[in-house]
Amino acid sequence: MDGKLILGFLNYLIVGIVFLLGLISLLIPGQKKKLTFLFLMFISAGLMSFLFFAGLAFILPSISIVGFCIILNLFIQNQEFFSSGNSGSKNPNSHGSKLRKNVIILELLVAILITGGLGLLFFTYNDEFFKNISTVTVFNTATLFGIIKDISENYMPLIFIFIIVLFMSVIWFIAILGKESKKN
Amino acid sequence: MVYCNTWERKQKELNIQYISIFSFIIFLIGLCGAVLSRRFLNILISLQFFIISALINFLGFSLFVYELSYWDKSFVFFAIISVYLFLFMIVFYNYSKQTNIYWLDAMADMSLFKPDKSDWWGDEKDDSA
Repeated sequence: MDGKLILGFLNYLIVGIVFLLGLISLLIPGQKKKLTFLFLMFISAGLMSFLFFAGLAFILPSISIVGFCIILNLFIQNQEFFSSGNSGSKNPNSHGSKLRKNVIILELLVAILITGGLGLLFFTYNDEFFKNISTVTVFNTATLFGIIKDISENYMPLIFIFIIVLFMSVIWFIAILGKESKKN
Repeated sequence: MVYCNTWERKQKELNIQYISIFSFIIFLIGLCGAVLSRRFLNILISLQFFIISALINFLGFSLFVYELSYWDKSFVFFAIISVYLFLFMIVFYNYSKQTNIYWLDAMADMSLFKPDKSDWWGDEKDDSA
């Protein structure tokens, strides 16, 4: 079998696995099962980034991802242990449940229509762009040495992210402080 | 070590258009999940869809359009770290509110040591005795 064909097949396979695991984690009932599939999705996303030739750029950020997974797991464990925050165990009357079902179907239909419309717009208006784009003939991997060298030489990505992080932190702290001051 | 993979346009084993459409589908599913669901975990999973879609798009375009670039890798490197630290912050805030850690620790004194006058001047002796 041709090497290029194997590489292409692997790329599509791993992107498909990421997609499927994410979809399962979104749709499956049960929070612990959701978390398991989410973690599997993270692992396959790591594999995907290896196949997209930026695996080295994913190894170090995975430390923060693992931290995020641990705290999320703790949060859900705590929620399930004290059974707080679950709104599924209510027992509504038949009229209310019928109305609720109709609302769910309506919400689902509206969401599918909006996303389908967006997808159609994206597909139709991007077709010309992809025909005109000139792709490279050879693609190379980035080495860790090259990335480190680039970080020390090119400060623009770092400054850009730093500004975004500052902006998001300001919004986040304003949101928290507003919430806390209302409670007090 | 540098791996080189030749790319023939006629055969099209890897197509940027397919990858971009695929990442947009992932983004749309994330959008659908974030809009439809009100549960915290579902919204977080939808955010993961957004992040992975952005990652696929960014790395795909940088790989297919530029010959060899490093700045995009360093950008992804810092962006993923900051995004996940931010998500960690949100989840930790919720977790601390849920377990009442927030009121015990975060709103109270955060200092590990509380130096007072006696740490600098020694124990005060009662001179009146």
